[in-house]
Amino acid sequence: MKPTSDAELMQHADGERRDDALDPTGRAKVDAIHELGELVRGHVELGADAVPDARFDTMWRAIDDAIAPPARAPGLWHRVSRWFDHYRGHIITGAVSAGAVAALALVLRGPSDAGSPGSGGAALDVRPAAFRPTEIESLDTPGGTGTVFNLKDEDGSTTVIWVTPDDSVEGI
Amino acid sequence: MDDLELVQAARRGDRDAFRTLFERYHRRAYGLAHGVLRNQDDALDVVQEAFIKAHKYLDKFEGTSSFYTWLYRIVMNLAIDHLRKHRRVKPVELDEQQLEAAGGDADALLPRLLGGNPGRALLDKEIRERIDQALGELSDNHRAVLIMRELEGLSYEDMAQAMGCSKGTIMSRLFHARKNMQKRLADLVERAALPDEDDAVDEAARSRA
Repeated sequence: MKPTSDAELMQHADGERRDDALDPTGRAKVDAIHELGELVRGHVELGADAVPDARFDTMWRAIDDAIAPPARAPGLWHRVSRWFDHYRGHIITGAVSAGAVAALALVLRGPSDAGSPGSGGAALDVRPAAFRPTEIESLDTPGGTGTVFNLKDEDGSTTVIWVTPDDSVEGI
Repeated sequence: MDDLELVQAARRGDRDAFRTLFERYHRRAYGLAHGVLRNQDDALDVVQEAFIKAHKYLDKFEGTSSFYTWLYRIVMNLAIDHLRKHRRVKPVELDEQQLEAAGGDADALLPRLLGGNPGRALLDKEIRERIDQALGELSDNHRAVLIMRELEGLSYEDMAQAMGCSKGTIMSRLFHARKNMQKRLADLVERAALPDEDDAVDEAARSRA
């Protein structure tokens, strides 16, 4: 059978039709169809080769995420680890800052603090002054007589200064 | 490992096996998608979705055809769906009657193109730009059929199934796609017909011998 139209020649070129013989013009048209096919194929393949590998790497990561089996519910340790991973930067920054402040405080404290606890010196008495017993070194009461009592009770002790004028009669 | 072994391993959950399949075929699948869609981002999206779907339905792959044959059908379906969703598909331009009319035109297809050396022609940047432009000027339907045929060598019947139309419509689209491509590249024929410097040197050497 001999093709009679270009449409039949195209079918022949595409292997959809089997023809025994082609005339020179028909042969040339079939060759031109094949050449066009090679041009289109080559052009598309060169275009595909020009896409950077990085685009396909990104694509694979997205595919891999999509096809990964669903993850089990995370355990406590996993959650703590994830929390730490998430805030690692903040934690490290905080730790470094605290260390720096401590080091600065040690440097600035100076030698007068050498007797601090643990340094081998005498311990500081840090009790509030209100708990110290009252010590009266002198009592000047012109025109009278002064008496000091130290009354002890269950809450501690109370100091009383009693002044009696000279011209008064005791008990009145 | 061949494709079937990789598919079987991937079915068992071996993601590295599936990655090997991806590495083998991603550029080819991209070429197909880009040839149809002519947009890099759209083509990459389609290829990504195609591989995800392929993995999801690996159990349905029977192995009667090659893995790539199965994959490119998924790619083509997604690419054609993409064209439909974005309303880029124009109504069918030509039907079977038009094909018959064109078939009666003895000068419809050109008897020659670029001198019979496509490999050399593709080294010419201008020719590649002209091919790209000519592909871009085809309708989406015409280009899809041309790409399916030239890249994957699909039969008319397979293309008709992929595009959901008759075999005659496929023939019509393919015929006019080729005719339009030839027409748009016709002015390159004369230039290609002229011997270039290398040919002239070779010819001179042969003459001296």
